[in-house]
Amino acid sequence: MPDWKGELERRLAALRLAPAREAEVREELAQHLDDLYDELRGRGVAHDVAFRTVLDELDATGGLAAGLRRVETRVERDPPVPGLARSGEPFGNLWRDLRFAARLLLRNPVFSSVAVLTLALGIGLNTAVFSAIEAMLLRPLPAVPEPDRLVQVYRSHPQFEFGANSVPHFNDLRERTGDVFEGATAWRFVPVNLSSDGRTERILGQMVSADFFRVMRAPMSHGRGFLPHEDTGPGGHQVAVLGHSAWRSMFAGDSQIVGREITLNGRNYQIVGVAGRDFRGPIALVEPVLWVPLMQIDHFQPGTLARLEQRGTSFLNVVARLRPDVTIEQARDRMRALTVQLGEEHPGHYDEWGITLVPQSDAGINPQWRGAQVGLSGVLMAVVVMLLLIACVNVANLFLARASQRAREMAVRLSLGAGRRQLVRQLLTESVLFALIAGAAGLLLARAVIGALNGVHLPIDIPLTLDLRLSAPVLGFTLGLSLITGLVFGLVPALQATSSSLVPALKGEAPAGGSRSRASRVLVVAQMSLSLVLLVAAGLFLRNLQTATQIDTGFDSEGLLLATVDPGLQGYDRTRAETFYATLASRLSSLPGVRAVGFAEMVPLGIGSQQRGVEIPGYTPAPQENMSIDYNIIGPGYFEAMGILLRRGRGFTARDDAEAARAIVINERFAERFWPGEDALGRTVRVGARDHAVIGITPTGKYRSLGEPPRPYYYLAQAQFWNFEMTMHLRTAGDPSALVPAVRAEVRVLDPDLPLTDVRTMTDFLGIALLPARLAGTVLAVFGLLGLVLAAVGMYGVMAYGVAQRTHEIGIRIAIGAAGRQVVRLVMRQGLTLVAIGAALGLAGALGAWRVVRGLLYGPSGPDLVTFVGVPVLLIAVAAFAIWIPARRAAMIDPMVALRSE
Amino acid sequence: MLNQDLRKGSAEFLILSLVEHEPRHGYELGKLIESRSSGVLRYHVASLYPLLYRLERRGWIQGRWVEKAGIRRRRYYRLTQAGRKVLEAQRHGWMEFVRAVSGIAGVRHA
Repeated sequence: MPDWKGELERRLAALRLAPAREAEVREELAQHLDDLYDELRGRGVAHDVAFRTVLDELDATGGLAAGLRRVETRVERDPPVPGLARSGEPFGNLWRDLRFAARLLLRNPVFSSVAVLTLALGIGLNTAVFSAIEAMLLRPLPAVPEPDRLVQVYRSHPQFEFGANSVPHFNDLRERTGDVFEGATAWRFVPVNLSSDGRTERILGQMVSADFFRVMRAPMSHGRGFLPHEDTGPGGHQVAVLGHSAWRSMFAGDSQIVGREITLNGRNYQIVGVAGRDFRGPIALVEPVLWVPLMQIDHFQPGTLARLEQRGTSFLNVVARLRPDVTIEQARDRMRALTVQLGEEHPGHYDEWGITLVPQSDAGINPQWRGAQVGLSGVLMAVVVMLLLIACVNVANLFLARASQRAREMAVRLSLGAGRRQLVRQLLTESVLFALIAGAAGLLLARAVIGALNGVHLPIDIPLTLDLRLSAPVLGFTLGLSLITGLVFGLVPALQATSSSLVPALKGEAPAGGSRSRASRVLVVAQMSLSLVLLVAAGLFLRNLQTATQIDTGFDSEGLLLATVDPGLQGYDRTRAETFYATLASRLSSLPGVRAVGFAEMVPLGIGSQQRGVEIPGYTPAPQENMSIDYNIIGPGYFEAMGILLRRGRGFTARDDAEAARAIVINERFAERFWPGEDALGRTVRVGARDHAVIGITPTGKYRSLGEPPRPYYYLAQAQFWNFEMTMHLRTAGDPSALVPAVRAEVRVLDPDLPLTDVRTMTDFLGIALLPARLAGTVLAVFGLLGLVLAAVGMYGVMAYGVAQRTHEIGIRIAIGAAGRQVVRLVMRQGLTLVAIGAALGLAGALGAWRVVRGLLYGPSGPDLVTFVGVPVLLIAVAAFAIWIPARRAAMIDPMVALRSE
Repeated sequence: MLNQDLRKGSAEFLILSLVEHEPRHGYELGKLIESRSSGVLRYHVASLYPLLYRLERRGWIQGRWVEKAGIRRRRYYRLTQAGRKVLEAQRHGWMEFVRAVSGIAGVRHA
């Protein structure tokens, strides 16, 4: 057959067609000429005559070039191979790449939607988690100008770094630091009974020093903040500033609100202002309902008026605003000097104490929790990134499979002079476009998740406003993540697709055992190891939740009802309150279904804890030994109500009153610490400078958190350490919540105005202690399941693709006599080898991950065997099934079809 | 042989008619025109393909590479929706023209 290409090229050269177009025209015409030549030769025409006749066809009627010139467009020097840069119009190029990519995306909607949805899942969850981190750790205080110049001020001690401040200390600090601070203000959360329109509600307020709104530079939507003179004269300023949300929800946004009176703890207060929208004070997560002056302390914490004078009683948080020209380091130097000065003026109060400054943005609720917050956020973020990586692996595999379908397209373009770099860029444009669309879909998912999270009500007293948003930083994060995602899953397939050797690709052959199948093998291993790490993490936290629910708390939480009363808030004196408690206890005990009644100041395993220093006669503490020990103030019957069986001695009775000999009950850990190997009963413990005899010993339980090591603990009698606010503990025979109406009625009989607060069962209350474990367990279980599904789908995809690529080879094997079973075994063996490698890598990674998170886990210190064995077994089983399906299909390949597929 | 102008005007019409019911490749089109006109009409490669490309550019026909097992791939042209409308209009025009010429010249339809 004559070669027409040369003849055609010569005639087409003058037209300067685009190379791709010229190749197409050449191919089509050459074929026509071949057909014509064959026909002539078939009719017996001699070669040279036939050859001439065919060429005449090209030159008839003015010639081919003349005919085409009117139809075809000429191009400039450089042909527009997609992805080939032309100097001077970089954006034109990008635009062309984008258009090309969009066309491809639309051409294959199933492929596109699977890829986009998989990525959207990964990106959406990352966005949701990041929005939570943004809200809790990164977002500056809302509605506060220049929040980066605010610093939290703590008193530090070798045993705790971030302690509270006393009133005299705060006053000295404020007066003497004008050279570094524009101002300093003190604040503290207080529960308040708010009555308006005949209804009493318990709400969360803040007591603040009068310059609070000035230092915070709080915007006001109505009225004013507090005035300087409202910082002097205890009890003389019955004024309050409302929070914006409370103003809208509780007072319907009344524009005439300023000047209106409300009742706080039974006293009239005048509303002088409403804070601006979004202003929450120094804690971004909690919006107080109202603010009252610190000088009113006796109305909100009755009997604490003396605190205004006590330098040793620390209960205030302090926040200060740095002067514009002062750095935090300079302010810290000033604090050191101030500590020395105050130590000289007030001997005994400043030994070992210092002042710690923490930038507001790093402080959070309390800097001591920051580490745990950052740790949990880190774990969560790592988990969703892992999920995204698995999604990326899946999509990379889809792209890889498609790349082989497009191998010829790539080869043609390479052979037409497109550079590899340009093609890689074109392919990356495609994957980034995919990722951006997935990012947009992910935002929709994130919006739904965020809506759900904002609606979650945590079982804790504090009204947290999580306020997750798709804010600018979150959107920026999503955009950046989408771009990176596009590059991550696009790069390998792009490099693979453009590296193929030209000749086999042009012929439409798959490269035998080539780099493309190597890439997909790497993907199987990656898939397996990533999923394993993710699922082990999920398993660890689920097992952790299981362990946590089984921890022995030292008391019986079933059938226990809790409710809190505070007669002090209603203005009772001690005698009246004592009578109230005695009457209430006896009335409650006679309710049907009530087995025991006891009162206590604290409920263990809640959010708060309290410690008090003790002295043990005959025991010399080591230097810096912490003699502050957790304690509770309880009434008679408490141990019976809690189901705590004393190891030795007895609990308090009504006879342990203010006149009786001082008594104390300790736990076993307390006894072991101070009297190891001896009998602690009858020994003396000095609390508040008075000697107390040990009358009983309880087993050691859990007090602050479920995960804590055994902790010394002691109990004092309410009659000997008076406390107004107490929580009643009712042990009931049946469902404790059924008793709630009866309990409310009993309290109403004694005092209709006394609110009963925090009414709930102990089981509900323990939700707080279990909250971190439950949150982590639930969230990770959901993510783990998603990861498992993605991994199974991905594994199946990779293996099915691998088998499809090898159809020809498997066909030959069957043709030369391999049985179906052998083929299954072959495919399974190869697949499972990769799975095993992935599992080994994943286990190593999971052990590393466990080392990082073990501090957050309860229970035994070793790695959890159930998780570390169970998860790999589960995953390998899922993988084996995912491989078995394509393997079985391979065994059923018809050798004739397979061989013809070439 | 027909006169140049007439041939040119009729060429588009002929090609659209031939791809009306099934896609055909260039060589086939050339052969069909030649055989169905009993050798009266014949297009050279140098004019057939520019014509095909022009029709394709106007969106009346669409070419597609089709591969079949065992033989080289070929470019087949099929009629597009737009092409179908053009074909109907042209067919109508030709009928009118033929009727008019018959009436004037007294030529009877065979």
